[in-house]
Amino acid sequence: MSNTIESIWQNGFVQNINDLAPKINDLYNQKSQNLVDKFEDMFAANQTAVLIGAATLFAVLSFFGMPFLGLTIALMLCGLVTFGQRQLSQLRLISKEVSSFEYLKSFDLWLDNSINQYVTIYRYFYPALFSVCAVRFTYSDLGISAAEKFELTALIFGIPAIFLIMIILAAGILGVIGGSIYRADVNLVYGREMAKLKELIADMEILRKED
Amino acid sequence: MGNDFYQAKILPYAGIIIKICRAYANSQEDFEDYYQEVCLQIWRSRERFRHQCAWTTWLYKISLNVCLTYLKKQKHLMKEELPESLLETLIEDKQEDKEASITALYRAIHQLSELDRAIILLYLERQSNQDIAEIIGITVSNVGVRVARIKSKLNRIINSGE
Repeated sequence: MSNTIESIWQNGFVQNINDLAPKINDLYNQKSQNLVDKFEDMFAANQTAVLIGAATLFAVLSFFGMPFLGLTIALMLCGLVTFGQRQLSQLRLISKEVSSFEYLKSFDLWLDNSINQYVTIYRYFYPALFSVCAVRFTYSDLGISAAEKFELTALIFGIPAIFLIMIILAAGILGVIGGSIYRADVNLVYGREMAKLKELIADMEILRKED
Repeated sequence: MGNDFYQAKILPYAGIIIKICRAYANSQEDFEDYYQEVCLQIWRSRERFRHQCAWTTWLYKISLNVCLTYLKKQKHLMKEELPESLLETLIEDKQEDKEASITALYRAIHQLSELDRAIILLYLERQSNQDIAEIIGITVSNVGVRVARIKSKLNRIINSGE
């Protein structure tokens, strides 16, 4: 190689390189493929879906004579939406015009923080959701006839003791795996990108250290 | 209004975006997606430009940040080779040695880590060490050291014809 890489670069491009810009179609209505924006879109879509789900569940369960169960679940889901809104507003504060390190680091911090908080929430949310439904089942015609059929006479708070033990056990299992399910889900979808992000940040941190 | 912004504030500097996107894209289709994404993000962020730095410095920042966090489509992830067609339009003329040189240089850049690509692109675009440090968010003292290492690596790759 007789040329330096600098001279190859300076002399290698056409003079009117700006004219070679690809044709862009309907640019301002395009869907972003940016990692941060994707998370933002996903969050916003989830919020809407959960709200619709909460309203639908309330309506359906009310229709089938279980308005209190419907209301309880809807309120729990609204709690999730409120938390999600807070996460979303923090995500929207991340700016792309700062240095690459600041940009990636702020997103990585948000991501870690958000995942950890959701893991904690789901550790309680899934068991609570299951327990509410299961307890309601014990008061249903089906639950009462099952208790009668198996002659479950020992009651705690009006619920057959064996049902209550099963509910507590199942809720406990859900509590253990609930957070992990969420973490695994995020890793499955964004694991590759998240690993790349960590790698980039680690590389940059080396270059932020003064000799 | 959006089109006016593109014509006035992006198109005159398209060369910056083109050169950066070429270094991260694996195919022509991929390149067009990168280019479109960068333009979209510049437009979305336009009101945050506070004239604290040059417009071009700001463009470098946005372009690199977008390329570093671009979610490649699955079909593009399969393509690791940098096709000749991706480079053809960028080359000054069709003289064989020039073509071979810039093609070899881009191929070599593609073999670097994403961070090293960002650093060397800024260096080749004649940004000062101070500006490179500010755009990437690293210390000035480390810029020179890393640039020297990257250049040596690039020369090694080009000379070995990898």
